[in-house]
Amino acid sequence: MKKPILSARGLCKSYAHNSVQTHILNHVDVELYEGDFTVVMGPSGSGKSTLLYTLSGMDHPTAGQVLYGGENIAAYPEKKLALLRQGQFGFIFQQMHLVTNLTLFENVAVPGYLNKDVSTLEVNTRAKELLEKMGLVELMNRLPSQASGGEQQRAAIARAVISRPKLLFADEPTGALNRKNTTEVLNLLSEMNKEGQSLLMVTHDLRAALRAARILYLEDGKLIGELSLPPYSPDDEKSRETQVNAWLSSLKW
Amino acid sequence: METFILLRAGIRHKKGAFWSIVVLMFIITFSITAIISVNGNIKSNLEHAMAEADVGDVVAFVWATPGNADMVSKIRENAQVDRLREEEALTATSITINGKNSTNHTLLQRYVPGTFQYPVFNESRNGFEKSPSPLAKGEIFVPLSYASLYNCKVGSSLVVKTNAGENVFRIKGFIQEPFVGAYFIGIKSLFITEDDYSELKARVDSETEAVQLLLDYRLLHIFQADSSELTVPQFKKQLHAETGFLDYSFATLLKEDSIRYSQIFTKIGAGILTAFVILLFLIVIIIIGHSISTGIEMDSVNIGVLKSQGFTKGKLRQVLTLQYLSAQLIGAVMGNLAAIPLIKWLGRIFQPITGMLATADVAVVKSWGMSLAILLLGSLFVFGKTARVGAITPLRAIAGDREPIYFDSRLNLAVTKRGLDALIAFRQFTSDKKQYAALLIIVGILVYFMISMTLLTQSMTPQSVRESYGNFQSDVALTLNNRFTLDQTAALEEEIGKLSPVKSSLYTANFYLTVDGSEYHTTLYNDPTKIKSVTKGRAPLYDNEIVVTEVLAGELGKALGDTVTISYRSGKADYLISGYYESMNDVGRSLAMSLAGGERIYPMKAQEGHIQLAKPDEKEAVISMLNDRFGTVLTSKDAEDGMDVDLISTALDGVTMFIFAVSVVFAFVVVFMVCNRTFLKERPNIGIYKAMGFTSVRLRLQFALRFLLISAMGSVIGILASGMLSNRMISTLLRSLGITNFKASYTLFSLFFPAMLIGLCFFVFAYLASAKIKHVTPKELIVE
Repeated sequence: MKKPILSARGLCKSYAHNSVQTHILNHVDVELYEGDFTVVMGPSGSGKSTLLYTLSGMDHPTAGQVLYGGENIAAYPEKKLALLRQGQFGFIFQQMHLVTNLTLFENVAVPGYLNKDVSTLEVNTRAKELLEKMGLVELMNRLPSQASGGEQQRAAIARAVISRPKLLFADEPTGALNRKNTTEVLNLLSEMNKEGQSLLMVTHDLRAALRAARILYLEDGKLIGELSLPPYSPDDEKSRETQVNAWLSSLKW
Repeated sequence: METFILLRAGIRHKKGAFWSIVVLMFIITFSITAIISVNGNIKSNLEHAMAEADVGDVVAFVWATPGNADMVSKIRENAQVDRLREEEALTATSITINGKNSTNHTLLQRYVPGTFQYPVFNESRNGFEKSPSPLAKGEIFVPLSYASLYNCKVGSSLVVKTNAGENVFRIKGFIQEPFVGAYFIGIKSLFITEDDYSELKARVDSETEAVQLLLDYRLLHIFQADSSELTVPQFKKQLHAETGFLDYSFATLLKEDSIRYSQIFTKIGAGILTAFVILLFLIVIIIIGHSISTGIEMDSVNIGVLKSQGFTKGKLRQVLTLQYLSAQLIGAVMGNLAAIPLIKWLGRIFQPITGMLATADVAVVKSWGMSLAILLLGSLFVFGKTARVGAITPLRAIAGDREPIYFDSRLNLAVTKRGLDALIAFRQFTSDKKQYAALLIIVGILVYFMISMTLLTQSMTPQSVRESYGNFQSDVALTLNNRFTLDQTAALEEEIGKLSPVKSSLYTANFYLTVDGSEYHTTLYNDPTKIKSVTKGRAPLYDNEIVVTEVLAGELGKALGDTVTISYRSGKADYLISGYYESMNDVGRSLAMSLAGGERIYPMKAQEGHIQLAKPDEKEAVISMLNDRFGTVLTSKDAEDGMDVDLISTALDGVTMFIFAVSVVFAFVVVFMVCNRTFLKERPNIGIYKAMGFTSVRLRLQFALRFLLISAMGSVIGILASGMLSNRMISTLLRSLGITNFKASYTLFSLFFPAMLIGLCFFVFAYLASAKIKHVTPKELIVE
């Protein structure tokens, strides 16, 4: 039996512009489970990214609740949200978004320094371990502008997990990468998931979606489909692709 | 049309920078217009009033002796002289106003109804009485500066002491006396009725009187002929050479010097403020340069797009120049208009100092001309600075090709958990040093000027001002009469010693002596080694030596080691310049020597004594004892009752406050402008930090810390600049006051208070200006 880690009830998000109300999310109910690798797919404008913002506390929903640890984080003030980001949630963005004037090492270590309960030595050691895992030790004293897109995204992943977050949110993490770098990043995410990291990823990329244990399909702000898959293995990638393709076709993707 | 549209869009897009430049230009033109207009008003009012009062080009205050007649007729007949007007006057040496002893050389003159040329101030002193009632017996008109000098008002009493008793007058009103009415001129003319004048004249003392309380004088108003091609000082020198009139004079005063002395305070204030405004203009130029550079960098895509649409480099530069010019123009117009009430207010502030009714005319031609020059300079700078627009190609801009982030490894402090916020702030600074270079210079300039002003106000203590006037630090001041001789000092000090040991004593006299044909204020000391302000060479240790101020040395064309001829009445002797000293007497045109040295030409006697007690608490007892035991040869009083220097300190404090206030406003505008730019540039990083878990407050503190760091570094520049330049700058500014060798006494307060104030302002303003950080969310990092 899977243990829920985060759940949303009646999640709505709408924007008003020139007296015209646009509903992006329409009463979405969703649950994310501990250790799961969940992917959200859907056509452009379906509300995938908005779902990610509202579930991660980056944006406030117009209505509904986002429950994490028994509390509605949608009502959290900024300070509590910051605490959540310091230790519980990690983020990976499509455009990497590393701080331009910090080295790769510093980009990874700085979020770790925010945790008062962890010593500097521990943070530095973990940052080095992560960079080593990401194959970036040689480059750790470089600025982001001196690294390639793939290297930057790997550093961003290391940054996202420095504080051992309970849940990792990834918004199109391979969207700005070439094929080689995409595979490297997806391998890293799969590996982390195998080690128990819960993940929620928004993507357009079928190859990225194949890594998931669970795919949610969003259309016009509503969850209209869900597909569960066995744990990912590179060996059964072909059969997964067929299964996912068939499922997506049934949803007219 | 396209220029207008781009101009409007540019202004709308950069409202912050636009209005910041408006504010900065406003402050500059506001100050300049006020400075120029107030000084112009005072000068023209003085000239006008002196013409009304028929003041001569040279006015000699001569003793009324029978030998005068010959000298007067020689003057009248001199080819360089147009005409001569004589006025009678009595000199009263002991006057008490509202209970305070007069520190001025006081002339009592006749008030002649119908011919009286000095207007009387109305009750609120914002105009003149239209038909003032004539003086009645026992009433007196005094110059307006008396109100500040002696804290008196209409109805206060004024006592003239004579050897035949006291005459008590009631102050009837304050007059505008332009010639010697100003606060800083040591002579004052008071006006009484014909009856009172005649009564006092009957009590005039002879020259042989031991205690001369009332003397008969003449004022000779000498008018230089229009045909004369000499300067007024040359005219005076030549006239003396041909008539010897200085030998009959207690003192002379040129009309042009009177105007200069009356304006001295406003000129110094204006000098300080002008220097400050020049530096402010430099700051505005720096900030405009910074704004243009960062603006072009941030707008490079727009510029590239416009170029791709056919806009030329010239057109885009024209738009940018117009954008900054319009901000400067609005600021200049607003500044010029807002200066009008300031001119009125400043005029009223200076009214008690100049003794002249304040007028609020705007020096339109001069101040607008100056504003125009500033605008022209600013626009030329902007046009030059926008040349960078040419380097932006449409392709490069649209591809988002910006300069890579770079930081100097020598300044690279690793970001660690300990001091995380400060280290991030430092990194933010080092990774964009170029952008902050302008701020460093600006802080340096502001701190430099603030330190200089603090040094100046701290140095202007009552004691230092007294010493600058050649006085000696003392507890008891003695006024010595003709019966006093220096050999009595031993007995005098022995008696004082019974009440309190004498810490030190000095006996002095003040005369106007003729040096190489021109007369100058001279202080004579019984012990010239006590002249504290010798700046070069040494004190006049021998009887044939003198010290002169650098200003006087320049005027005489003499240097250390040179010889001058000094005369007084019939006596004459040569003296060697042994040193330069500093004195504010006659705004630095003075000399000093020993009393023994003075006796080489005339039997000069000590006139004043300055006693410093080891037990200052015994002051009252000593004064009382001296007046009882030595009353026949001296009068003694509390030295603190002397010259009132509060006005100087108050006015300097006012100028300092203004400079500090403007510096704070500048700091605010500059920080606000740079913060806005920085915020736009760093918005993505702010979002990233928030996604990491940094709170808005923490990020704002990092922002503020960065600016605190910059202000600290800028302050170091300011402090170093002060060490190198403050003395020189203040000496230049105070040269007209006679201070040519200003030596700053640095204290922790003078150095660190301005730096801390600017630091605090930068920290607080940056924190306030970074409020927009609250509205940045990590959501902005997500690409839809």
